[in-house]
Amino acid sequence: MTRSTLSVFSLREVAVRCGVDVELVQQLVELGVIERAPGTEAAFACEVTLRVGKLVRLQRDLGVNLEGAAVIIELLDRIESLEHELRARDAG
Amino acid sequence: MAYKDYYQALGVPRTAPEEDIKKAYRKLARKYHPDVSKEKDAGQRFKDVNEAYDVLKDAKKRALYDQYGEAWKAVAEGHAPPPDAQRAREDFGATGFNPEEFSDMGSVFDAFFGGGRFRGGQRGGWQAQPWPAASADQEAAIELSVEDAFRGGERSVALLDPDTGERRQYTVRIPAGVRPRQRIRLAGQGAKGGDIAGDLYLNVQLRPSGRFRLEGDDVHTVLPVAPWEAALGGTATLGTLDGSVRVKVPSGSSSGRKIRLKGKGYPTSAGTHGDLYAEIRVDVPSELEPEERQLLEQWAAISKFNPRPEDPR
Repeated sequence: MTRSTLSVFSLREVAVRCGVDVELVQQLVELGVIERAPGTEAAFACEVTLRVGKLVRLQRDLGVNLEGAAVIIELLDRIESLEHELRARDAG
Repeated sequence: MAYKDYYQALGVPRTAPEEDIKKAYRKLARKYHPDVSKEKDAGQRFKDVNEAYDVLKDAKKRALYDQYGEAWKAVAEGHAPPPDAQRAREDFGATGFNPEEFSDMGSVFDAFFGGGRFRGGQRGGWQAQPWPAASADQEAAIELSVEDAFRGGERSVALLDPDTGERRQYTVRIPAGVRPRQRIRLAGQGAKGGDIAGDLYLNVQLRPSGRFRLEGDDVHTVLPVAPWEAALGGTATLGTLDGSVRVKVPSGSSSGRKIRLKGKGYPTSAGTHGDLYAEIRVDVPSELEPEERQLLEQWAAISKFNPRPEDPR
C-alpha cells in the first residue's frame, strides 16, 4: 500500500516498544494476532504495536488468557469494520 | 477537585461485603475498559473504577477511607487530616481513630501498607495510578468527509495529549486518498514510555456526507434531474471528488438508474482509481405553474405508461 506513513519495526523493536518479551511477540505471530509486513521476513508494520498493546492491556486488566484476548481483538476488529460500513451506508 | 465517592464509583452500598465489591469492580472493568468500551468517558470511568477498587479491595485502606473520606491518603501519608476531613468523618459517621494520637503517622502508615510500596509512581505520591498503557504508542480517531480524505492536506485537530491529558492542537498532514481504517502516524507524538517517545496514530473514519459515499474503491453520488431530462435525456453537470464533469443522461432514465463513470472513483492502493456511480433521482417542482399543470395533465391523458402493472388505468 502506498502510504507516506509506512515504516517497519523488527520483532525486538515491537517487543521493546510494548514492554513485553520477544517470545510473546513471536507467540502473537503464531496465533495470527499480528502479521509480518508483506514482503519482509521479520519486520512488522509499525502500527502492530497498537494491537500488541491492546492485547497486553486486555490480558492484564480483564484477567483473560492470551487466546481469549486474541478473540476479543478479532471481534473488536469485526465491530470496527462493521461500524465503518454502517457509517458509509448512513451517508447514502 | 470534586469529592470522589468510591462506593458510588462501584455502585455498591457502604456496607457491601468484599465479595460484592469485587464483583461490581469486575463488571465495571469490562464495561469501561478503554479498549473495549464505546462509552464516551470510558477512559475516565475506568480510571475511577480502578482507583475506587484499589482502595476498597484492601480492608485497611477501606477502613481509612471510611473514616477520613478523601483525606485518607493524607492521613496515611502522615499528614494531619485537612480541616474538611472532619466533614468526611461526620458524613461517614466514623468514630474512634484519632490521628492526633499518633506522633508519627508515617510509621503507622508503613505498618499498614508495608512501606513505600505505593509511592513514587509516575506522577508521584498518592495520585491514582494512571492507567498503564502497556505501549507508549497510542491511537485516536480522526473523522474526515470523503471530500477531505480524497484531497488530503494539512489539518489542525484537537486531541487529548496522552501525557498531560489536556486538549492540544495537532497539525496533521493527511495523505491524499487516505482510506477508512487507515492510520496516520504521528511519530513521537504518543505517550512517553521510559526512553521511548511513543507514536500517535490517527485512525481515519469517514464522516457521512450528503454528497458522496465510499464503497470499496467506488464513490457513489446522486444526480438530481428534472422529469423532462429524465424522459428525454440530455447532459448534466455532475460534481465529482475531482471537480465537475458533464455527463450524459440517457433518455428514459427513471430514479435509481446508475450512470457509471469509469476511473472517477477513489484512488486505489494499486495507483488506479475506482469508479464513480451517479444515481439518477428525478425531482419534481413542489409547485406547478398553471401551464405546467396543463401540459402534465395532457401527458397523463395520452400516455400509455403505467409504472404499476397492478394498478389498472
